[in-house]
Amino acid sequence: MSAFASKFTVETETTKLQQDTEAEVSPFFIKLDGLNDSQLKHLRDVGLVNETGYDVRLLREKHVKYLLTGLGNLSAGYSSLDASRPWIAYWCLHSLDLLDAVDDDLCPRVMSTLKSFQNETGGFGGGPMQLSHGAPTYASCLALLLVAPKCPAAYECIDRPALYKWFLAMKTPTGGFRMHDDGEVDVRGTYTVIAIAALCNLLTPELCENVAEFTVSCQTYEGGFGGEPGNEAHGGYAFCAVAALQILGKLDMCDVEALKGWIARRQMSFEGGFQGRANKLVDGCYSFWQGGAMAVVNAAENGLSGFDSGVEEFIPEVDSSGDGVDVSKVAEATPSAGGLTFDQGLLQRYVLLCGQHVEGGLRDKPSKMRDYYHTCYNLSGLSVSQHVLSEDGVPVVYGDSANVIAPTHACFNIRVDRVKAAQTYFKDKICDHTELIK
Amino acid sequence: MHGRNRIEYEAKVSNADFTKALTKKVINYTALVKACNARKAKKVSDNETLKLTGTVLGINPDYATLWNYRREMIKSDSSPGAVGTWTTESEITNKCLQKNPKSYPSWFHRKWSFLHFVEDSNVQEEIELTTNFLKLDERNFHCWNYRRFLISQSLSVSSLPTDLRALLCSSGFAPQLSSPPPSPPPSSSPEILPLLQSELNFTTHLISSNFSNYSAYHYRSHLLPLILHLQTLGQSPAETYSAKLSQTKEELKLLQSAIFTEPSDQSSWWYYRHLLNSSSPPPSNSITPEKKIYAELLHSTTSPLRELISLEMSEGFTPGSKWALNILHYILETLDALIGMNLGDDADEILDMLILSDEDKKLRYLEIKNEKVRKKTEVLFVFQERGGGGEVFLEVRRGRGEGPKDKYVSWFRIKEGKASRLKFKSWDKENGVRMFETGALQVDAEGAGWISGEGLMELVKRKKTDVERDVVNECLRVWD
Repeated sequence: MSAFASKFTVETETTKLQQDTEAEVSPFFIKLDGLNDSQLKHLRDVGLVNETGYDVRLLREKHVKYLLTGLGNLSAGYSSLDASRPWIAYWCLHSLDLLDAVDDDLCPRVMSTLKSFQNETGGFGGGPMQLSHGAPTYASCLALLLVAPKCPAAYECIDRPALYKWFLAMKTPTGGFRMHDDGEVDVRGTYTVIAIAALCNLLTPELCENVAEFTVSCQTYEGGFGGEPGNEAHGGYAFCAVAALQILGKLDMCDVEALKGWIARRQMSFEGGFQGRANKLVDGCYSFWQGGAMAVVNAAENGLSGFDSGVEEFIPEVDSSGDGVDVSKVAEATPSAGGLTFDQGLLQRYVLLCGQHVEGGLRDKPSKMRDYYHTCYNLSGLSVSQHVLSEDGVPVVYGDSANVIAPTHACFNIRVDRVKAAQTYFKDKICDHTELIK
Repeated sequence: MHGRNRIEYEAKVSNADFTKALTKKVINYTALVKACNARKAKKVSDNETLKLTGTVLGINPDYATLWNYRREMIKSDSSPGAVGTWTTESEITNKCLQKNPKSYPSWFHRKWSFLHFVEDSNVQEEIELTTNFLKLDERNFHCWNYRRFLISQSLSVSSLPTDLRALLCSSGFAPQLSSPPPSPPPSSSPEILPLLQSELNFTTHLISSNFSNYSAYHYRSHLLPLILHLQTLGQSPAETYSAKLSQTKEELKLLQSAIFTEPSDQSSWWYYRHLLNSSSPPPSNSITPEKKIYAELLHSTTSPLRELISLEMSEGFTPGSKWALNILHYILETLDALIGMNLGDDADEILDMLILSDEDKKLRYLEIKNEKVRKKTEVLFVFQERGGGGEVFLEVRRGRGEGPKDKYVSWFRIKEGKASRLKFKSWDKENGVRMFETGALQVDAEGAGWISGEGLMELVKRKKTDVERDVVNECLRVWD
């Protein structure tokens, strides 16, 4: 393993931070079969290594426990997210869904809570009596759509006509969407509107006019996308732009080769996870923003459209021993495994070895706190790299074969089956501009 | 959440007094939010309510709804100092940004306030503010964004002619999108070029103290074309292109010191590549004067690069040499494509060095090597044993026609999937007989035959396109 980072001739703040990060991460990349008995026993006791081998395990049960606390009362430290309560709901519910752990009895609570955040004028705010905002709207709708297959009343919680009118009100002549009334315009606005409009069958030509043009104008010389024209390329915005363009069927309007190169270069050669921008540090959440973006690009290259997930039918056979997971068929995560243009095995290794908190939950990097946001996006990235474009639908898995989680749809980031269900439910609803604005 | 150090936070939280104080804070916070909402419902608008929202925002800067409420109050009464002033708004946003320098609504509100109180706000002071925030985090894109907005204000972008305005907007120098109060007409025409150049100098200063400041490079990637555009207004395409190359030369000089000081930092290399790319001449079928001067520029960069490579490689293969080798290969390929400068062997040597120095990507370099050969490989003739016996004779050309012909054109015999090269001796053109060491190939109007010690093998002519790629690869493999 190369350790060139320490050979910098000139030290800068940036190089010091990178070296520190590599040093922080390196102890987690130990060879398991080189440990002594008591060290190995400890790891097995906490559940990180499987009982009869040397494979790293996803701590499913502990993560589920941690996520359920997120749906309950939160401690004082979370006051800074008071305007983002739908996000917390979505991060936790989606993560639980990937782990196949969303109980039916959560549905009524999800519906009643999120309904109270919806405004008559359309869209959802971060909490009751809060202004409708693109981000909580996106999160609320996704949360409702992922529980809806189990309780279809959730589909009707979304006030479609009002939502459409609100989307239109956020639209600007440049093609970008504001995040909220009188708010900022950037590519997050584009994605949050287009993704939800697509899922709820509200993509009219009127809504989409000029949207692709604005999005493409955010591509930089490096190949990635910034939040607004003139901004530097950044993982979060790159995902928003790529997913929005793919949903609109217009990915080829941008320089796809440059984009691909930029995303691929964001995978850290030592850590294995992704960084958000050049010369910045690895962070578990980019497992989805960057990994997912690449999955969308690869899917498009394979001729798939926005709604095609690139995941072949996954029917988990329930293991009678109660585990609930089909452990029989997985593909080993060798360097060339999988159909995505990044090292899927190394990404999974980063998530499992460095991203997991031993008491449940996942994080940015070992020196950071676990939180629901990082749990959601680490797991989403894990899912993408296991399933999207995997040959014959056989997931590519690093570590224990039971690490397979449910497949997420790279464009929308809820489970593939939830996307299909939403498509089915909304396909016959009115999707005509003149009708909707009545 | 992002940025909180685990060890520190876990230590804090285990302290009972800390959690007690925090809980108290939250009870207080919830009460304040309730109070704000009650007033909002009644559309109350006064300084007391302004203060109240300020207290909540100081605790939770991301509460967008309350920022909106503040704006509503300010807009509802435009008599000076009625509710909210530049002073109050700059103070509250300052406080919130200290707490969370990445808070979208806080930056947005400052932008809005700057415009609303345009007579009181001072653009220079605000630019100074961004310089200071950048000292704390030079990659904060919200801050860069705000700075670009301020520059657009100084340039009075909204009152510029359409195409210039569009150009500036696409580089992020955009005026506020919502309908602000109209900006006062400029008293003198704005000095655009000096301002952009001073921004360029600002990034030079940042880069010289930290070569890895990618955001600064990014900003330059927008500033340089804008500056060039303004400097070459009204000039002919030829003059403009020549000016572009001069600018690139200057930029390369700056880059040179970054690269030579720290060759393992990839950011400078990608910017280098972008510079060369963006200066490429307009495409054409002939070798234009533009192509010539561009080729000169490219060529002039190769010796410093070779110098760097030998310097780096004196200590064995380093990542620094890898980047330099990659760019050098790219330059040589470009020169080849541009003016037909055949540097085939040279470029291949570089690929060989890359294979050794960048093991992780070995297969990719081999692929590039093979790709090049494959692109130029052509099957010229192919004959097959009559009766479908399977033996095949083909003539293959690889690469360009330079040097002794047998280096790039040769005959092969394929027997049971294995290729062997036929050593050419002579060609009797008149009689259509090619003599090889192991036999003779006769071709005439009726057909063809292979005459050797084994006797005569009758051959039929086949189509070039019938030859499978694998067969050609096999020939290339055994060629040398």
